[in-house]
Amino acid sequence: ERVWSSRSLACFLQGLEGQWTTIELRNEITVTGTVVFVDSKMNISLQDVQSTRLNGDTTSFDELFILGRQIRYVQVPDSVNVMGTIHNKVRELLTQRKVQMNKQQMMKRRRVKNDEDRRRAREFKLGRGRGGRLAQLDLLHSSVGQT
Amino acid sequence: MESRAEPALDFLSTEFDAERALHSDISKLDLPYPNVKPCDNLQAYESLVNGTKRHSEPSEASRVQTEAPPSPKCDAPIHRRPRKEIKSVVNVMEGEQISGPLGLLQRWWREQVTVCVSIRHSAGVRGTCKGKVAAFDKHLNMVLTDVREDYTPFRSIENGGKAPGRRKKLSVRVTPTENAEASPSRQLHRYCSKLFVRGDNVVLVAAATSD
Repeated sequence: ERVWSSRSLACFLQGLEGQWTTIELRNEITVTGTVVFVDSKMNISLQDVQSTRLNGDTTSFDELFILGRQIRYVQVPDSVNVMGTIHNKVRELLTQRKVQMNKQQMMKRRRVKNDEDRRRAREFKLGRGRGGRLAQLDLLHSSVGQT
Repeated sequence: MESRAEPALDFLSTEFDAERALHSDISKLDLPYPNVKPCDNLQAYESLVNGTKRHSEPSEASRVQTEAPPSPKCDAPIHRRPRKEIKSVVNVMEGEQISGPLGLLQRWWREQVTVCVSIRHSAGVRGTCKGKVAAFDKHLNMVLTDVREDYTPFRSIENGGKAPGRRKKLSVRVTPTENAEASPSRQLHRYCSKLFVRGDNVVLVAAATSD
């Protein structure tokens, strides 16, 4: 869940979405591009990418997806306010989570209520109360018994 | 009443017949709890227990609820499990003093001490990054500012991805020390104003005593 990224600095990277960055991988390949999406495991997808190997070979990609595990460094643009980004992202993620949880609870309550109503209706129909099947049967029995 | 009715209608006997009790006249039954209000259907019972007004008209022949004292257990307000508050990374950083090694890191973050972070590659130490800690987390992912990096690129990667000495099985094995002497690894330096380091690659973090 993306919300859990608020527990680690992956949320900071998520705050960098849309920025042009340089990422150095564990195999010492340098990748420069615009960050499109970061997930809670720090997997990053980039756009308009140029990757450079140690021996100088460069390759260009329109889109590139990097596994979080393979990242060594991310060079953050200077203009980014570190703590500010983190605060904002965490707040955003936690409100998202609250909204999600409220929705889930509402759904659950609605489901429970539906089940309850259905159960009650069934019991009333089958029960001994007025209009219930068993009550009707009882009446039948009693009338049959009397005759 | 002293004398109990027949065992089939006696609530406390093992031969109690619930169906017969329901059929029989309420006034003739010997209820174990005389003060109980008999209900003739489940809805009436529930509304009694919940205390809310629901549509429940008692029929002419009133029936007894076999569960005599009304147990409010199932109708208790839904006990909400206290919602687990996610401790976000900022909470950890800015919160109370952490005990243990991370506490040191927290102190360095607060006091903006220049630290020296050793970075590793797959076979040993790659180099060090000297900078100030702007943010950290429990995995030792860090954001460092004013970073000076001294490092040596991984030899085998420079050679095109093959580790020296592993090219041919039958060739002479190149021992690591020989290799190091033959081609000494270059020490490279780099400067970066803001660097995010993934905790995987961190070997150790120390306060830099001199720049």
